[in-house]
Amino acid sequence: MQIQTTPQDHHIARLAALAIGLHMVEAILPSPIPGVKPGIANIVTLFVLYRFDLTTAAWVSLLRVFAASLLLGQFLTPTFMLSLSGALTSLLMLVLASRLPRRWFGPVSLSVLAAFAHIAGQLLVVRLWLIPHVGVAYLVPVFATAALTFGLVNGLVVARLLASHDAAPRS
Amino acid sequence: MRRRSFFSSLSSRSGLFARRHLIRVRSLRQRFSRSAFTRRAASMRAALSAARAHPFPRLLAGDWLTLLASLLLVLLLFQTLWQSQGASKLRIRQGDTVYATLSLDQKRTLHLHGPQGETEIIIDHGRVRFLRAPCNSQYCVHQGWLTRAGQVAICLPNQISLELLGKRKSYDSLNY
Amino acid sequence: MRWLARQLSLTVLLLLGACAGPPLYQAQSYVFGTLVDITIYGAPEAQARAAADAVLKDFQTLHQRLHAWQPDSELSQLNRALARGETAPVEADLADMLKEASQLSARAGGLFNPAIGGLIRQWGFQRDEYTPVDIDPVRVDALVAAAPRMSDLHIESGSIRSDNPAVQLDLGGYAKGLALDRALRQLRQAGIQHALVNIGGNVIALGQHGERPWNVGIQHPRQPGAMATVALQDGWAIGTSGDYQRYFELDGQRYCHLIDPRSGYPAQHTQAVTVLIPPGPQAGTLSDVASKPIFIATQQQRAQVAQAMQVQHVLVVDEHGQRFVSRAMAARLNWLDKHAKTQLLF
Repeated sequence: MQIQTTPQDHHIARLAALAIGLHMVEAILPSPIPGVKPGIANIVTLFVLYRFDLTTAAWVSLLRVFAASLLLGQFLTPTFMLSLSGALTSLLMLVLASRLPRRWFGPVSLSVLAAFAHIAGQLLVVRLWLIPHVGVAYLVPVFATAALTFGLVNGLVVARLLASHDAAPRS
Repeated sequence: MRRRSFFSSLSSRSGLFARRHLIRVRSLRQRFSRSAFTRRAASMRAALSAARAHPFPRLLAGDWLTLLASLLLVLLLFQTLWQSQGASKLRIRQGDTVYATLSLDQKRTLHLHGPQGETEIIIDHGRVRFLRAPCNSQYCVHQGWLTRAGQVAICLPNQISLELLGKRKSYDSLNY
Repeated sequence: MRWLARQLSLTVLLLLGACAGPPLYQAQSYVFGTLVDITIYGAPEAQARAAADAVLKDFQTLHQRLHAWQPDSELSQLNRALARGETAPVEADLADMLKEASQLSARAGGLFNPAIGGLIRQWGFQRDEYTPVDIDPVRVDALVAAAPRMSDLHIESGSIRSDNPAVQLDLGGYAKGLALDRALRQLRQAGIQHALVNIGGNVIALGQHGERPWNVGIQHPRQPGAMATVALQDGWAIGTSGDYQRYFELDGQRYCHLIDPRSGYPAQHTQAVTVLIPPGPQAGTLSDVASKPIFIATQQQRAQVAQAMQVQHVLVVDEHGQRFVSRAMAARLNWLDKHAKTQLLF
């Protein structure tokens, strides 16, 4: 059996590969606070959302989670479950946020909202499954601060990428 | 003829938005032609100059609104979740003596015998409560979960008290 | 990021914390049908233990003598004699207590009335446990009509008699406060400089806790834990009357142990009243007594009753959970719930 692919598929695959690469770089680099990561791979997700569509963004995001965890040997480990829950909730948030009027809300809004959804999903898994302790509540503000910061930075990067992309003459 | 994309054939096309930004599928010939390469180089140069012209992307009104709301949310979270002192230990007293001082970080059910009978206490990862008591009033059971340092629940008839201890207690004693 | 790291490590430390503390000695016991807690700061353990034990022993003795429903207690014997209209012999110190209680009752315009033991029994609060009672309006009305008052008592050298056989003494709203004053004197005599005594929620402070004053939390009437804290300086006492300590529920109605002597029914328009009493020989007693008439009084009468009781620091939580504070009290309270809305009482 041979799967028919289009150049678009190749493009998406390239972007997914980039996302996986960024995910793995981040996984290897040490973080000053355990669990707090900038989530640069989400830049790719958001970029794809703007340049393609939501379905494609979901594909890139989920492919990244599965492939990166397989490559890092974390498949089905708690780390993977955290990645997956974060990816799923942030995608869900993007479904809602993408309905916002685009005249007023740019990639920064989407990025920040998705980042908050991301930590919300992760903390829910942490609280319900990994660390069933009310003390988890104390970590919420820390992660929320990280979400705001990195959501903003990633959003700015996406906005910048889109701007340069738009400036380039189209074929 | 238009070939169906592998990704889109596997999933329903949502296309909620950004349809107009869909990159047109370019033909293979076009992509690998000499002119395509020169165009690419030109596009990269253009992108670079555009980036130099606008080093920072402009934020829209809604973006500022989102950022402001997010900042407020973060401040609110700090205020509400970091205000109260967490409890780390539980002191159980029975009559005149300390029955036990236990870590709150565990799941455990305790059975204590007082003058009226058996009282059941449950510790559940950071919180504690009276689960069952032999007294009529059941005030102690109705107290519910204790979570913060300094909180106290007392079963007077059965002479058992629970007190949550923390590094910093916000008060020495409770007036009730 | 470094800031975050610091905050996080602080949190972890807080979560792990609770180790080596200051030299505190704590004794707890069940007396007066409630929990008694004595905390002593800065004294050698042996001295602290001896002092606390002596105080607890005194409490135990006082409790047995003033017990309102143990038939062989001094007070019960006295009550039986009064009901028969006899003149009964009375110990000098008990006579002094009854005189003091009479004065306070007069000051409170009868809203603090230790002579209504009959009503308290009728409502089922003269028991170790409170279970719903069948409300008997006829009997309650009869007990109110009999109008037992402290002024019916005649206390003369070593004997006591009552003009009114309906007088049944119950010192439930007085004994714990008196015990606080006695404890303070006893601890001072034993050379203790810093202590906090808590009898069923009524607290008196001696000295302070190290460098800072003793800090007392005020129980939220409907939630576990404190709603505010107050710094209790040397000699100050704090007392609360609440509908959440002794009560029973019947058909969705809450009946608390604070009975309005005028109607014979439990007061239902207040959740809690807290008073703060400055140092003095009666500080503990007043902290126990003064909150009761303010609890029973209507919202309009409260300021007047507080003035009659010579109390400046008052906090009232009414039936809807609304908070009213006197100007002097507002300056002393630290609300734990920052969004707390309060209104001026006087």
